[in-house]
Amino acid sequence: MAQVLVVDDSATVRNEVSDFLTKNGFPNTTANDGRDGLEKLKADKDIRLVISDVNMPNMDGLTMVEKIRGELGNKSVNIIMLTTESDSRMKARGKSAGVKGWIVKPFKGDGLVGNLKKLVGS
Amino acid sequence: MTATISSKILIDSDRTKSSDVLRDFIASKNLIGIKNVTHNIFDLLSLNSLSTDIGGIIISDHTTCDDLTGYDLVNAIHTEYPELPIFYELTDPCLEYEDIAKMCCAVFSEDNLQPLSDAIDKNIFSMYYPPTLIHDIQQVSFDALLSMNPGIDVQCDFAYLVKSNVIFGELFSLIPMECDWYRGFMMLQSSYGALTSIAGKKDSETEEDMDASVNDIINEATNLIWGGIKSKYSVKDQAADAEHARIQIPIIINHKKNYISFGSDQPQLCFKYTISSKDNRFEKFTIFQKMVFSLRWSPDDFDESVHRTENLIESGELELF
Repeated sequence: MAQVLVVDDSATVRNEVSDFLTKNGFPNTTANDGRDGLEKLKADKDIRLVISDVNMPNMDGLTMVEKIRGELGNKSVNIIMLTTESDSRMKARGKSAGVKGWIVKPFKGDGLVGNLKKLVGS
Repeated sequence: MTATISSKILIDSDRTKSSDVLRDFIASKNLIGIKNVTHNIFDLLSLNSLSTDIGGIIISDHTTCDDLTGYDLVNAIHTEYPELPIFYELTDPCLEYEDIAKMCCAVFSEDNLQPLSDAIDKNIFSMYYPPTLIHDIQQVSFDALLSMNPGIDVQCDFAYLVKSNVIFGELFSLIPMECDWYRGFMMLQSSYGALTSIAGKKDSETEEDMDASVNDIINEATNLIWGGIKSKYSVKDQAADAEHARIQIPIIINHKKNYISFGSDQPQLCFKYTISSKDNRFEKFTIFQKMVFSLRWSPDDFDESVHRTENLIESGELELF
């Protein structure tokens, strides 16, 4: 079954997003930084969508995206960044690395379900 | 929320006439006078809530504390709290005050408050903070705190300036703040117990789990506020920013003396947020937000940055590429 991977170093945010996804029928799993996220993605072939923070210890979100597309060669998983960053250069780096969408924190789930369904299904 | 900036001044004087003159002066300078007539100055200053909250202290040649007066008293305060501006009121014109003046920001008399006024401008209101900036910081922080938990209310006091290096609270976060017209640090301070109550301890939770939850709350609050302010005042000139980014100075954390120094004697810009539970789930508590722009401060460039960020997308919305 298609899974969503939530990557954030903040347990508060991980739980908030995970609870929202579960409530709206999206099976999901979590990782606490980019390195952990990369491992989870390698291990679980059902992950169709990654929702990730940018600023994290050990491995930041954009480096994780670059490794997903580069080292793992995974071009199919959709990736959304959920971050306090809204800098256009940061977004441009994300876009060129293969990020599909950008959400500026705080997370407000309402109105996202339709888009999330498309991204998980596509 | 109000965008004006104030500062609290501890006034240690029991002379009624002087107090009236000072009261009018304090009001005219947008200061808040905390008059002390009964307590020991050192006891007062050792209280966390006061020593981290004031911009300076006014004492006079009438002030006595622990059998100290005049030079000895000023010296004792200055030695214990070297960053705290001392303003000394001279009531006896025959007294010699040259040695006292070396440790004070101003020596003044009630007949001539100009030296006091100048010293307050120089030592407390030494940096200009645009009212719009103050309002924006408050609003971003207010929204960020509120977004963390739907069951809370947030109240924000007026912004104020302090000259204290003392660390208040058991828990604080620190994050660099920078764009092309400011560089410095933001600190959030609160108490462990307060955040434990908002984290809501579960029976199965270990102390380590609770530590992680408490750290996570202040960390996420810091992150949200930092991101909100950064979004509001984005960098307009990357080259200029890179040039200024080369400058760094160490931050000193002295656990022995319980203080933190940002390497600058500029007053800290402070905000106080009171968090309460809508359903009385926890006791209300405070979060202090302190900012010091010790590496760069050019508010003249502020307006342009505001205009540049008008078209940013709303937080929470998905922007598809």
